[in-house]
Amino acid sequence: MVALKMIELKGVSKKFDGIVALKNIDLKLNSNGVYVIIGPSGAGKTTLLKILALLSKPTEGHIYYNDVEVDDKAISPLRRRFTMVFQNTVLFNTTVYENIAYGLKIRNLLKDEAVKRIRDVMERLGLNGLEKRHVSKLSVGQQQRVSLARALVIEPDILILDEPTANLDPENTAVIEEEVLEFSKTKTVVMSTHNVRQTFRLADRVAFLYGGLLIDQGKTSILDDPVDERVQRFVRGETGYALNHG
Amino acid sequence: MNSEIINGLIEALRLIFSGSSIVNDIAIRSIYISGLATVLAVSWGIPLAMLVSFREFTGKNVIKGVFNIGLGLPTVTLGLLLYLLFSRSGPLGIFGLLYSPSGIIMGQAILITPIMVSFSVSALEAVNPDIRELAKTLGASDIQASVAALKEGVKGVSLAVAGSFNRAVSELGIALMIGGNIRGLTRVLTTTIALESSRGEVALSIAIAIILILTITGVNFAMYLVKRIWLR
Ligand SMILES: Nc1ncnc2c1ncn2[C@@H]1O[C@H](COP(=O)(O)OP(=O)(O)O)[C@@H](O)[C@H]1O
Ligand SMILES: [Mg+2]
Repeated sequence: MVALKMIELKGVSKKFDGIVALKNIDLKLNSNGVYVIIGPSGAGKTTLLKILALLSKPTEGHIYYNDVEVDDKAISPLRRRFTMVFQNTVLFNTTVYENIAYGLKIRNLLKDEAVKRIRDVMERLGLNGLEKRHVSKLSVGQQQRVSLARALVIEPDILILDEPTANLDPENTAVIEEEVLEFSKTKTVVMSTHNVRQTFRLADRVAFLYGGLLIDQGKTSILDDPVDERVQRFVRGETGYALNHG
Repeated sequence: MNSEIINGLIEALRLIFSGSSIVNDIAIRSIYISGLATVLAVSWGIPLAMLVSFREFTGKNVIKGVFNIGLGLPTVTLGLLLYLLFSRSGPLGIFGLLYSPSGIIMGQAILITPIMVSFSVSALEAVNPDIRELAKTLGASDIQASVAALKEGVKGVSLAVAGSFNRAVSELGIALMIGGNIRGLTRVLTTTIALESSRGEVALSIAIAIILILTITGVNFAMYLVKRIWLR
């Protein structure tokens, strides 16, 4: 199978009875690297990522994967090519190991290969020795690392992360950012954040979302010297008027 | 009266420990009939509960309402209705279900379907809806995602199963009206109690009543063990 590289949204809108969450979004992702969707809360980031992950259908518009329009029949097989990590960590009510193994069981991966991959990803995310631990007995940081491990172990073509470090301390944040950068060397990460500094640390390309509208997109320089007043206000508010890429 | 209760207890112990084959047969028949009724009700009740809990469609609340009302369905009412359907001249007469164990099994399965569905729906609706999305984004099909959510709600659903079995094994109306309390064929614990107490065999009735309670306790404990093992 050809790796999934190209995603394109054309004129995508999403309404939740009355509320317009996304308005006429055009977005194209077509190479390795980290795509960051940045914007204040309520901007529509989660809604946009769920549409990209084919978990939610747009009210209007078209989605293309590798230049082929996604129709209902294609959704299920396509969904296996990528995975999304949710903002509020969602875990199956079982052990760490069983959580991480879920996607591999669904894919009927050979046992030996599965065990190897799980061991490897647990090592990388500092989860060694927690195999049999029930997920309810983990710290928030460990829980978020389990949900990232569960996504990485599938070896998706595209990794979609919804504010993956929003509730985390600097140490856990660093672990996750490192994985994001590593993964993005060969594949695509699409992640949302409301953190300007994180965007500078990770992003190859940025899209600024505000009130369901895609205001601007491009290199991180669009945040450096924002043309749009809304972007300007957001960036300043976030960084306390002093731009610091650190 | 007191002495009758004590006599009943003694009689119960004697019947249990002497291994009275008649009582054994009746207890086993009760478990068999109500167990199969429960299996039937599970086979259509749980998929229906999953459909109602996980899908959006119009008329969903009507379905829930109907099953909620069905929770209080008097067994004699259902017994009468089924009697009319199953009797030789009734519309389902050709199946020969009247006065047969299969007739009781069908009747009890229908009786407990509202418990199975209503309790399972409330257990499944309490499961975090993100679980299904999570399963899907990890590669699950729609059905696999629903199974993942069912696993999350397994505690509540197993309560629905246990409650359904308990209602089936302790009901009298259907066993009496559809089964006819035929010795060696459709006589179960509850119909034996009704028969023996009407004959004035109070001690024996109490003995059988105790055996009924022990049976329910034993089966529920077995279900608990199965659940423990399954959930590890
Ligand atoms: N399931 C839903 N039902 C109704 N409104 C929703 C739903 N999901 C999101 N919204 C609304 O859509 C808008 C965008 O939400 P969201 O995508 O979660 O923003 P963000 O992730 O950027 O904080 C918000 O106004 C939110 O209230
Ligand atoms: Mg969000």
